[in-house]
Amino acid sequence: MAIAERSSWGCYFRTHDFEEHANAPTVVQMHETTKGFRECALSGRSRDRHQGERPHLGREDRGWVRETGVEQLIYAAFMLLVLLTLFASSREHALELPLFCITVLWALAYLIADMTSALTLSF
Amino acid sequence: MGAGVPHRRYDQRAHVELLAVARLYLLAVTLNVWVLVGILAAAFAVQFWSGEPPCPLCVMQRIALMLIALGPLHILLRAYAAGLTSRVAALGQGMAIIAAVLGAVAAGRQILLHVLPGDPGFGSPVFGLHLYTWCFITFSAQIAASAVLLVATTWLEDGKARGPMTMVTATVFAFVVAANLVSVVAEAGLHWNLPADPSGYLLFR
Repeated sequence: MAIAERSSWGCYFRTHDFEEHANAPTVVQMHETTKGFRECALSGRSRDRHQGERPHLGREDRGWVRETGVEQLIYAAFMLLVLLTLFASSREHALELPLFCITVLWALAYLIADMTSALTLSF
Repeated sequence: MGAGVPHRRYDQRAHVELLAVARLYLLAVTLNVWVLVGILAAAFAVQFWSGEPPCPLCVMQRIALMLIALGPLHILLRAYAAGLTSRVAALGQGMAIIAAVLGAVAAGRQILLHVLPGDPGFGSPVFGLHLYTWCFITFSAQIAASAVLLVATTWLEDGKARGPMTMVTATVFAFVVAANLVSVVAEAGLHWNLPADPSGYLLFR
């Protein structure tokens, strides 16, 4: 099986490599190669644990979220923001809506960053 | 009053009907919050009774559920303080829809991670479906429900109607959020990363 090469977009397209070969593996075989990756996407450890299966991906390809190492803080921060928004709402404070928007946009950015990391796109 | 000026009589029956609509609306909004609190509590029950701590994406979906509840709570708290207006109701339902879309993205993402044939999924199924699938259904239902309630603001007249048990609802919700906060910190312990496939609480190890 050929090792995937980095495209001009900085992403990996393993499927493309599979299609280039006459003995391309079936979908089931492809699934077997990714066994153990059924854990959630927003994760650092499972990917680190299986990084050996993807030697072509360096640490820098695993997304800024994991590299910053602040996942726990982020989840706690999200929940603190929810509590702050509720408090602002109960006081009819003008910060209620901005706090809500910040939380939603931050969470959305967090999800998108995970979904568009090179490791995710390599599947 | 001049003869040419139309005389507008106070219609008590119409006033009572409008007040009833406002109260019904606030009752629906309160019910919405309690359903969300119930789902978060059920997730807690699965977490502790089945011994399945939430994964990072599961926590993300819980956060989305909390953000959804902020919309109806905005309506309830504003109505409690100064009465219900259609502007407040529209804003609250909009907040709920935006947060539900965010939750649907997170749940959809997790569903797609396990979409390949033979994949057993993450965690134990509940009534035949995994929790993230139930979450996706919940988020979709929330979008539909909020859209209906948004349309229903047409029949709202600004008034002094208050929702039932507003402060109790807000307090219980705050307690559930705080409990989730403690749970997340307990799950990650003193480590930086939340475990991808958690099996316990790192804080107590």
